[in-house]
Amino acid sequence: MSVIVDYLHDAGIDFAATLPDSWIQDLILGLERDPRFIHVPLAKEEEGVGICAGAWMTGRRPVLLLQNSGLLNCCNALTTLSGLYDIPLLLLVSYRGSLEENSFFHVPLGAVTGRVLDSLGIPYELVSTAAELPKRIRDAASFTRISQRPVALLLSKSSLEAE
Amino acid sequence: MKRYECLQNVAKSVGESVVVTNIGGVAVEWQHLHDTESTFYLWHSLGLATSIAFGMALSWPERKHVVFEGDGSLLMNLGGLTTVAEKAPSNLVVLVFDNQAHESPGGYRTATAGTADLEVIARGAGFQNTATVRTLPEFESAFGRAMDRDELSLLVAKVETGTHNVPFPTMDARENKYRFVRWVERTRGVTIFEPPGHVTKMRE
Repeated sequence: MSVIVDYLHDAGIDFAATLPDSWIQDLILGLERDPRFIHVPLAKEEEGVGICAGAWMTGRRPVLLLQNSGLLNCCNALTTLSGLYDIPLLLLVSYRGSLEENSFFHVPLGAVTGRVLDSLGIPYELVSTAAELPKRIRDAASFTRISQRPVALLLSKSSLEAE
Repeated sequence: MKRYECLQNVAKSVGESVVVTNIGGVAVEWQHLHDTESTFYLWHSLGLATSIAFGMALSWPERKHVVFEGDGSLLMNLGGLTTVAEKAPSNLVVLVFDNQAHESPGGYRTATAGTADLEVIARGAGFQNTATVRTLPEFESAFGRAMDRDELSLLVAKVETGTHNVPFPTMDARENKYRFVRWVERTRGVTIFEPPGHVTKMRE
């Protein structure tokens, strides 16, 4: 069972919408099996921004867990839903295509992810090691709620290696 | 059948159910007919109305949720129907006003003017309780059944194009969010908006 499930619970998160990536598959399985979370497996990432917005407005604290390719699929909703209404959302993003990558086909994602988040006006941090995860998740979950804006954590391969 | 006539009927029976409206004429008409604190108006993000209502329905299972969809918006997020049907929240009614056009930006036809059948697509996604209606009496009885049943349902209402001549709303997105979420907080007895950060810090 992934320890990150416990970090999310400790940060107050109780709702997760996910789309698989090999780096985060144990975490997704953990969320699916854990009754402390409502878990929604998605068909495509952008619907997750809507689902999580609805969940937050009726009293849940959601996370959207996805690969950075899926983050690119969410640009419109993050702008015209989260941005138009100021709706909080914790984005946990596997950072494919960074220098730790060993699959050539993810490389283009690494080159644009940070600049896409900058352009969207979404604050983000890179999580380099597993040891940083509990505090980063706690801080990001709190920041998204007080700011009522999406916040992203880019999860490096190293930070997920204990998974 | 006109969408406005259908909405007049919905207004009579919707009570304090949560209502999520799609973008466009439907939001303008509903605002004029039955603007309540329990309504969330979507003003952009075409395709996400049902996703938002679905997230709400999962999170607030004791409350009925009704979403006003359109054909163009549903066609943008057909995969989302499979996501909803897999969880099948019994407190969600998806009401599709199918005017066979992207009306607001100029009336261009959608695929439902040709070969696409949204009810069949919904059934294929896993929706059990579905109907397509073409007259107001059919609409009244099908919507009434969907509201009474404790089952996920999707109703396709074939309507003419055209938006009733009513004033445009003056409430913006953020005001709507605050009004809606404050209503949820009061009605459910939950805290959704956090206290300001500096207050939390001072308490620590």
